[in-house]
Amino acid sequence: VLTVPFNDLTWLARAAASAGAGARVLDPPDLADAVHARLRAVAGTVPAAAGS
Amino acid sequence: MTGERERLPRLLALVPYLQAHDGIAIEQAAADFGITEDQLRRDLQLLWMCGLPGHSPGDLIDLSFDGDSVSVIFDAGMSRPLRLTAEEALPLVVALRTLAEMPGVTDRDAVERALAKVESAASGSVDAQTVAVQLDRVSTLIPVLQSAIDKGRALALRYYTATRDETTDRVIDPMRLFEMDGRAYLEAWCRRAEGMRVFRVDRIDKADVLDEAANPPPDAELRDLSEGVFTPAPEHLLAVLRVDPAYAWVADYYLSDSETVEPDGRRRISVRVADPAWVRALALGSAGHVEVLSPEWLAESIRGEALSALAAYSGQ
Repeated sequence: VLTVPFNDLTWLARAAASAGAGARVLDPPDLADAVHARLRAVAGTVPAAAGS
Repeated sequence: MTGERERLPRLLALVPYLQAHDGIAIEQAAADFGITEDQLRRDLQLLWMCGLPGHSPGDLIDLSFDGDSVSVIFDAGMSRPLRLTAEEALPLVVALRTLAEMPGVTDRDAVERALAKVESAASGSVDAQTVAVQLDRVSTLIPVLQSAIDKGRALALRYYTATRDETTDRVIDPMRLFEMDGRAYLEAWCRRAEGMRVFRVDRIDKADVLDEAANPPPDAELRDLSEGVFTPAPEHLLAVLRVDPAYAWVADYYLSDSETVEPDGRRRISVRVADPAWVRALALGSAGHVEVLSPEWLAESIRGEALSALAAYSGQ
């Protein structure tokens, strides 16, 4: 388990999503939601999110 | 040391030197300063005209000549050897400490002696507590890598491959160090991959020079760097991506083979890929703004990876 300080949620969500199944966000929930949304867009279950 | 830039420090050093060697032969003094006797005589004649404000005979440096020897009669206050201010000594101490930390320095004793002299000349104002130098990994590694190349020795390398996020151990036959865009690289024959490879020095975790000789195959060729470190080649995978305008930079950053703009503003670009891992990471992190159109197996692999990652969140 890694604890990573951050101040840019978009940047960290992109980095975590880039790792695919190799990384899962445990906390905070808004970061986990952001990663989840990115992965859903890649998986094709939702259209690409705007502004990401 | 006969140039004008060297003359001033020599003149400043001469008076205390002559005081410490009263009546020394001019020939010996010239030899000690590494100059000719004629040059030393010209220096002494100039010193004779230097001194304290007022410039009367009693204010100027006075020398006494006895045959071929010389003594100081009046030093005009220049009785101490040249001292360095902290500001003057600091760059020298930093440079020498850096040199002392460098692996492969052949005469470390000489560096340490010079350091002691400079610190002494600075009257202790720049000591080990004031300046501590610790080299970054690249600065530490480069002399080791260069030494292996110079001696024709193989290297045991522990290397981090960012695109696969893995660290591997391998034996390489180093051939060239070069720098491009501010980064240092090592080009070598990799015995593990059985091919030429370029390693970023800042991603080398460890490098040990081996006893065995480097022995790259005769047909191992250094790459042409005129087009950059990565040279797309026909044998590399050709990936076709569709990118949203926010990711248009991908075409420039990864040197696309071709690029077309679709009616909705998205770009369709073709890139040569030596390792598809970076395409996978780019697409996974892009929130759907980078879509792999081909090869189909790569597109499917990325979708599958996204689904696997999503499954991990299903219990949350």
